[in-house]
Amino acid sequence: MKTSKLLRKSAEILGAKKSKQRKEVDCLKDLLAGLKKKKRKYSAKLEDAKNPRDRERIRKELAVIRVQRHKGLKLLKKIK
Amino acid sequence: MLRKAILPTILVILAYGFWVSPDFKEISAGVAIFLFGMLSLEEGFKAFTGGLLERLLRKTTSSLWKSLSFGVVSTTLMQSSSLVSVITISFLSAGLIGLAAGIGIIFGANLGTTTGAWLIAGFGLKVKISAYAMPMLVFGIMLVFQKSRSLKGIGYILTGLGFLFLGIHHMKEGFEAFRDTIDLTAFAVSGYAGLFLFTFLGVAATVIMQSSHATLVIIITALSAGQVTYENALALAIGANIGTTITAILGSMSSNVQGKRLAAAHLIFNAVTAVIAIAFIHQIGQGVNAISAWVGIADDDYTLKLAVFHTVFNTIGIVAMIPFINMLVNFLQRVMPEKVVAAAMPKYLNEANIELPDTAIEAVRKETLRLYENAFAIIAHGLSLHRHEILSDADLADVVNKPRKPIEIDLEAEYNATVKGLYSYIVHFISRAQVSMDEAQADELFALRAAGRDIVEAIKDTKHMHKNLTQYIRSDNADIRAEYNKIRVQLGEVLRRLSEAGAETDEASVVLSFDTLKVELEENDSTRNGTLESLIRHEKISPAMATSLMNDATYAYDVARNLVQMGEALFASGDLAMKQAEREVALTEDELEEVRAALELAKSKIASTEKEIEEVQATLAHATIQAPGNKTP
Repeated sequence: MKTSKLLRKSAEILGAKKSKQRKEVDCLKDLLAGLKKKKRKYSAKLEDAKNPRDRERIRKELAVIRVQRHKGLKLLKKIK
Repeated sequence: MLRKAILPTILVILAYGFWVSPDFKEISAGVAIFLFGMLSLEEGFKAFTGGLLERLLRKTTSSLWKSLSFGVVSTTLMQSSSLVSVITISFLSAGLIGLAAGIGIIFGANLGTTTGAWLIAGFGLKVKISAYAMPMLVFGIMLVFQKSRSLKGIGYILTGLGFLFLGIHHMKEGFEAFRDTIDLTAFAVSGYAGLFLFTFLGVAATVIMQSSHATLVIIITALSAGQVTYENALALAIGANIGTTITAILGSMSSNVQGKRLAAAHLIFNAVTAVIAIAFIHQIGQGVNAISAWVGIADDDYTLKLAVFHTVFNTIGIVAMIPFINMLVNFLQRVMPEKVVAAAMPKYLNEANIELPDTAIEAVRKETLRLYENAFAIIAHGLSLHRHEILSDADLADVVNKPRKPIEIDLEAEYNATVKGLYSYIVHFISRAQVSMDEAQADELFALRAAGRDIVEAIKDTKHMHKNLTQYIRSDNADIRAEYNKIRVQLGEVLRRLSEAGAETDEASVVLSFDTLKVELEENDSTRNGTLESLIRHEKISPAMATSLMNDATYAYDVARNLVQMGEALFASGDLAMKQAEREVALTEDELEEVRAALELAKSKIASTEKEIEEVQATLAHATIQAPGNKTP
């Protein structure tokens, strides 16, 4: 293990707060990636959907995802 | 009576022994310090069970070889097969891993524990081990007093290792001094009689100390001091291997049938291995000599040869048993069948799960899921919908419009029979489990308790609207019938979406999809979307009907809101940090309002655009008709 890596690891163990923060960032990133995937899925579905009720429901999903992603990105910036 | 007499008798015998022989006192003190070290080591590893160990367990038990390797590595690192087996039992009884994976870990742990013999024989006896013990104890205790959970854990591990080393040192010293006064080899018994006698002694010593490691240390230190013969030491090691299963057996007593099956598998494996070792003792002995010569162990270095023997006979056991793992699983499932747990009795909440925070949380989550399953049936029947109808792809609007008799159900009786008791068990278990948890874990447990409360509230609200619902879905008034059917569709849809979310295992943001449901709740609420006013104004329903609908729409809204809240806690995926992130990203009431407003705006824009298109189309059609050369139809 290189000295810098060793130092980082020890700092992580001793500074639990920072490590917790890193974990939070990782989780938020995973969540945002998942939401992006979901957004793409629903966008594709919207193009194919013909039934007005289905279209309305997909639009709702997309609107919710948009606000959630916006909130997630804001949180991510705040932690970073 | 006999039970009560055992402890005082042992204490008196020990006290007499200490008075007669100071060397015996030193050996016993060594054993006591060693066992205290084991306790400290276990305490240290428990500090890391809030994630690392569990994550590893989940990832490394997908195949037999992975489970086996996990058992070997974790036992080698922790130097305690007992701890690994107890953790495995608690994971198995919480339903986190399967029986085959659990057996794999236990087999691996048997091999991993042999590294202890190597460490003691190769390192503990050759080096002045107490020199390492002192600094470990000092650093360890300093860390134990730190606030951080990880530092505390490391402190306990260091202290544990320090005490282990110190214990070995005292045992070694004791046996060496013992040699000058008493020659224990005078009690050596040769042949098969000696083999059986010392195997039994090994079993007894390990059962009393509940640590094969401690027995092995005594065997190795006694062997190095020449106090037992090599043959008898081999028999003692075989006995220690059988005796070590006592910890798993005791641990499984408070667990469910899964844990008991694993303890039985452990006993069967170790007993079969012992039978093989005893039956082929001479052949294995020759094999050990050959291997020892091959790796350069001196012919008279019996301590290291014992370590080789320990590894060889456990490896033979694994090789012999692996092909029969599936047979063993089937056999145990047949001999120890799973009891049909009454709906109101807990299936996952037991003593084996309460010790480790993560398993306790998982057990509560699974039990709350059972509570939800019971509640699902009650709520669905309360809405006069069948379970299979909700879980199908059928359009619920079509289902509710089919003419049929409402389902007869006594909601109060059903609630008392399948929900109330189970909910009490969950609440009681949570209050006991939260004692040993950190803040994040306790929060998760509170969220699950709140989910249980939401389930109960949802049933109670269903009960409140049940009478009117069964009356009005048969009413001759089409408008009131339609409104109550809307409630049924809306709640049926919520139950369906929750089931879909529960079945979803891949998607990371399942909980976030409930925000869409929340948006819809408000839209569908007839007391808020103007439907009720319109019905009253146009005198489509009587004032009595209007009052009932107003109350029941509120109950329906509460049922849906409680169920969605419950889903957010119950179906959250991943570890605690991920769940926390999901909750942070989930939308607040204000943000949901923002989404509703945006959707409303988009809807009106779409409507006006569609109107414009229609107007343009009409103009175009008119222009085409008016164009010269076109005949008016």
